[in-house]
Order: sequence, then structure tokens, then C-alpha cells
Amino acid sequence: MSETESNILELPREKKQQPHELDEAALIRKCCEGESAAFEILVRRYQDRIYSLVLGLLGNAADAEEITQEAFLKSFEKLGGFRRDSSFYTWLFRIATNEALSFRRKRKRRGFFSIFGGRDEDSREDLPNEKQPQPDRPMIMDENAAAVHKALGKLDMEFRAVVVMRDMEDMNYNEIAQVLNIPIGTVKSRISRARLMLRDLLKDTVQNEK
Amino acid sequence: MNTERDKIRAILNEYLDGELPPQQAAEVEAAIAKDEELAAEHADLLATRKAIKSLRNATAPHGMAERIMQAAHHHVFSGHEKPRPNVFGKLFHFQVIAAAAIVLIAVGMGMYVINMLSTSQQAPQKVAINDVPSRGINYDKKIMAAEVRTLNDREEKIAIAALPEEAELARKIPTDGLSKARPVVARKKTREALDKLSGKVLAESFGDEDAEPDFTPAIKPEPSMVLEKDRSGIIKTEVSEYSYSRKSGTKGLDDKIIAMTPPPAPAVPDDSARKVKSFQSVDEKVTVGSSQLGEVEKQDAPAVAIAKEKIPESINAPGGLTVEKPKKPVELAACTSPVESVPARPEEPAAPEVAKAEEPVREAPKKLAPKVCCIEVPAADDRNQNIVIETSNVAETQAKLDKYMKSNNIQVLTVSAPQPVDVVQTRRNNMNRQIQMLDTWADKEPQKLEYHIRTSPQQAGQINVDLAEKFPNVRNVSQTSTRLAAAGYSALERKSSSTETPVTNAADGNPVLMVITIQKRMAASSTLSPLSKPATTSKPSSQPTTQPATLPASQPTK
Repeated sequence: MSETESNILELPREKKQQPHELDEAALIRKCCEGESAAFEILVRRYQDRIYSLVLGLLGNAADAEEITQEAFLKSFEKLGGFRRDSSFYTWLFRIATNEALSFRRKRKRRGFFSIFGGRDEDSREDLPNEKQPQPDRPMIMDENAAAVHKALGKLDMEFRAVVVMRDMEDMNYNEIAQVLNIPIGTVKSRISRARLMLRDLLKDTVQNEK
Repeated sequence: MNTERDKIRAILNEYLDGELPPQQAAEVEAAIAKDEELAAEHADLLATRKAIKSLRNATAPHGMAERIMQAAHHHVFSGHEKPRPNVFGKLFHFQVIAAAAIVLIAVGMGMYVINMLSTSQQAPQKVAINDVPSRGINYDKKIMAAEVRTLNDREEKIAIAALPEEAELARKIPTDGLSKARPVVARKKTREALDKLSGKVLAESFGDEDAEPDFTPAIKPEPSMVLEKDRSGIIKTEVSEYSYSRKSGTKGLDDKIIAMTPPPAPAVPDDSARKVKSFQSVDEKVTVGSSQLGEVEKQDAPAVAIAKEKIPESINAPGGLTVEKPKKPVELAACTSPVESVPARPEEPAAPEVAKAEEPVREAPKKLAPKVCCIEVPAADDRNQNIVIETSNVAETQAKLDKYMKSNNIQVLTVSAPQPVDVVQTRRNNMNRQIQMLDTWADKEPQKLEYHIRTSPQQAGQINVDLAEKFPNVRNVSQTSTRLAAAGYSALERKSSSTETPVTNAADGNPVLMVITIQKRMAASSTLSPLSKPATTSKPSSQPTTQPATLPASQPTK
């Protein structure tokens, strides 16, 4: 939960509900009426999780921020089509995941080369770089984290997505199936195979942690 | 043991994620406790999961929410894109529009291809060549008065219009020189005249009411003619140099002109019918248009056979006429100017009334056209006649001829007034000018009228004789009109056999198609070619009789 939202939620309740006190359904309704304040509350409520998810999928902070922004804007445009058969969070995750996957496909098709050298496929990890300090980045990456990121980057997108959603976002299998629009059995098999691959990739790291 | 271990191993991840029911989770715990290998695998997966979870602390960059809201205000809240039920939005999605455009293009191309295929499957345009210009369009006014006919429904309609019941109607209507049996349907004036003359609109017979004249001839000099003979024995004379612009205006789709002569019919003894056959040069270098005669020979055209006949020194005609072979080999000048002769028919008695002892001797022309543009027709085919009546008053002669036709119950298929040369030459792209010229031409007194007559061979001979008596300046030019008549022959024959009672009373059942042309006499020069023009034609009215005007002069007539 972001600091802003935490502070807002700590305000004493009044008879008339403030926008930040509204539940998701009310916020969505307000958004549909064009109220920007309600949309801002939704953005602040979910921006960290969406950003984290997209960063896990793309491995690049700049791309993750761009895709997160795109996902929020698209969610607002499509808010009228939200059918409420799933939670808003799941629906928002689906949009963000699709945006990230679409971004990956486009970049792969265009043969994008990273400015850090090498093909984007191999350099998507947002590794810590002392020459390019990023003070506004809250995530501190140690050596192990870099190794994990690198290992994640070597996974195919379908396996990476399930691992990120499960282990980083703590989504259960059912939610993952909803977000990715795949059967739950496929989620299980993908998680199993992804972890086995990561275990092999992170053998040294895991041994050190042991 | 291994089987049970694999089973536990398969659900180890679910156990790790807490997705297993308690009972199954207890089984897994028990298996891990007993099996060290499973315990090691569990520990590895747990460590891997822990390593991944270590990345979960990522938080959004500072100010991202503000940037998102700024973008949202710019794009969404500015009124351009407000959230709304996304029902119709998808319809106008780019992919949908692109797909619709592709479908439209595909449909359009399909229609175009179908249209092209249907056009290409149409029967070729067939025309009969009345006078084929041998030396260009300005040669002796031998305008190509080609009758454009098709072999589809349109031809049938033309044939219908040429039937007797409408012949009178057609006679009063100025017709297109390119299509003798066809009124100029493009002209409003003509249509109005049609409406006035009859309750029905004859123009309907010719298709589109607002249709412009179908073909505008693009006459080129030196047409190339090719002979070919089809299975039915019909000789097709193809003039490939002539091109027509289609009504649709499609450029590059030039139709070939095909003149057809009827298949050879068995020779029938006919006393009165004048058997006129052209002398042709036997010279092998005589060209047919731009084609060598030798090429024509390969196609086994009867015309070539005739061309190679040995020409007798003189021939006695049934009508008491005698034709002498020219001194020098001649080249056939033009379609309307062949050297005419009468084939010897000893068994045929000569028609005494035709014989004119005092017939002035005609001299053979000195100068001949260098090229042949007319294909000789075999004798068996020579059932058709072309008679030209020169007159100073076309209307008077027309009335006289009408009276004669009526009194003798001669079937007039159609009467037409060919367009003047300049009208014919006017191209399609100057249609307004052409229509204006046509209107002007229609208002004037006709300079030339052509009667298309269908009769029997016997009656044809009688007509020849009668016209020679009735009209002072009558010429029998034969042959060239054969092509014209022959072109319409098949269509008319087909039509008459199906709908009309046969008009011919010919013994052989083969009708004769005659073309009688009433032509306004020119003041200084005759329109006749040098071959057929008599030396005395400068004063035709003063001559007691000029019939037959086309005979070679050196032979005295009986």
C-alpha cells in the first residue's frame, strides 16, 4: 500500500464518504463518470503491484514504467467494459500482462538491440550498474538478485509469467489462470517446469543460500 | 517406490504453494519425511522460490502515479477519450477497418475479373464490309460502310428490325452508315421519330435506349485482309487493321472486322440472274491488303482459286453481253470497282431484253488501283447483286423505286442512308461533334440511299432488267455488295427461317440479297471507280441507256 493511500485511509471517517474511502466498485463507477480523483486512487492503490509484475516480466525498469502507465491508461479506457466477473485487481493484472507480452512480441519482432550491447533478449535484465546510478529506484539489487533476474530473463515468457505471478505477486493458481486466460492445469505444469529450470539456473545461488 | 516418489514429485510444487488439500499435503509431508531424495528436491525448490520472492520488493518509481495522471488528463480526461461501454469502439477498430477495406478491394477485383471474363466470352463482332478502302479513307469516297453486327442477341435484334414489317419504318429513319439496319439510337431525334412513327419504340430492339453508337471506326489505310474458311464453308475476310472502340470506351480492345460470304451454294441454271464475276489478276504478287496473296492461298480460299482461273479471252453473257479480258493483267482496284464480266453459260439462254446492240463500247480503265482489297467470290456464291442508280434527285428516284418495289412485291429488308465520311471518321472522343454532324446530316436530303432487298435469283435478274429500263443511270457493280449482303445473310436467313416464312421463291432455296443504291450524281466526277466508271458517265442522264455500266468497253454487246 502506498504512503499516500495509507495516509488517506487513516483519516477519520465522515458521514459523506471521501473518494479514497470508496470501495472498488464505487471507484470504478466514479471513473466511468469521468472523475479523475477516483482514478488516481486506483492508480496509487495498484501501481506498485502492477509495476512489480511488469518489471518481473520485462526485466527493465524503464520499460516496466512505460508499460505500467500504458496499462493504467488502457484500463481506464476499457473500464466501461469491465464486467465484474473477476476482481478489478485481476482484470488490471490481465491488462498489464497483455501489454507486457505485446511489448515483448513487438520488440522481439523488430529485433531491438539494447544500448548496453547485445540483443535485447539477453540484456533485458535490469542489472545494477554503478556507472548509471538510479537513485529513485527503490529496489536494491544485490548479486543474488541479479542472478535471479538473469535466470528469469532466460525463461520463456509463458514460464516467467507464472513464476512472477506466483512467487512475486503471491497470486494463487486460479488467479493466474484468470489473468493469463489459461486452464489451471496448464498453470500447474508451467510452474513446475519453470521452477525446475530456475533451480538448474540458480544452482550456485541456491547452494550459497543453503 | 519410484512410482510413489514420482507421484509425490509431481505435486511437490503444489504442496510448496499450498494449493493441495490438507489430506494430500499430509501425504506429501510424510513422503518427504521418509524419502531423503524427495526431501532434497523439496529443499531445492524451496530455496529457488525464496530466491525469486526476494525480488518482490520492487516498488513503483517515484512520481509514476503523477505521470500516469498527467497522461490520463491529457488523453482521457481532456474529453477525447472518456470511458464508455466498449461496444461500438471495436467496430471501428483499425483491424476491422482494414479487413473491411481488404474485403471491398477483393470484391471489386472479383467483379472486375468477372466483367472482363464475360466480355471476353462474347462472340466476336462481325461486320460486313461494303466498300473497303484500298488506299485509305479518302480514296474515291469508297468509305467503309461496314455494317456492324454481332452474333449475339443484338444481331438477332438487328435482323428483326430489318424484317419487312419494319422496313418501312426503318426507311424513314436516318440510319447509321455503320449499321444499315440499325437506327442511330443514340440520337434523341431518331428516337422521337421512332416514337412518332410507331407506337412501339424500335430503338428498344437495339438495346440501351441511351446507348451511343456502339462502334466508331478508326479507319486506317491499307487494311490487312486475311482469308479463312470455316467448317461451314463460310469465307471470312478479316480486316485486322480496322479497329473499333467499344461502346464502353475500353481502349485497346479492338474488334476485328470480319466480312463473311455465304457458303457456296450449288449452281442453279438461272437465265435471268446475271452472273457477274470479277476478273482478277493472276499475278501472284497481288496483295490482299498488306497480305500477300500467297498467304491467302494457303488457306484454301475459293477466292484464290478464282483468282488463279485462267481468264477466257471473252465471255458471252446471258443478257447478250460480252466481256473481253483486259489486255494486261489487272489488279483488282477496289471493292466497288472490279473488272466485271459475265461467265460463259452456254446452256443459259440470253435475255434478249438486256441485249443492246447499240450499247456504247466501254473502254477498260487505264489506271488501276495498286492494291486489292476485295476478295472474289466463287461463281456459286455469286447470287448477290449491287445496283447503283445515279440520279440528280434522290427523293424522286426513291419514290419511283418504292413504287416499283411495291408493285412487284419485292421484299425490302431495309433502306438506309450511310453516313458521310466525315461523320464516320469522327472519333468517339469527339462524340458531341459527331452527334451534331449526324443531326445535320439527318436533316438534309439524303445523298445516298441503299435498299437491301431479298429476292430470288430469277427475280433479281428481272430487277436488273427492269431497273435498267426505268432508270437511265443504272449500273451493276455487283461483287462488293456481296460482302455486305453476305454478312447479313446468315443472320437474316436464320431469323427468317425461324420466324418468318421464307421470302424467297428461288428454286434452289437460296435467296439473293441485293443492294440497290440510289446515289446523288456528282456534278464533275462520278463516285465510281475508274474500272466501273464508263467514259461517258460525265453525262449519264443524256445517255439513253448505260446498262451495264461496268462492262469492259472493247466488247460489243449483243
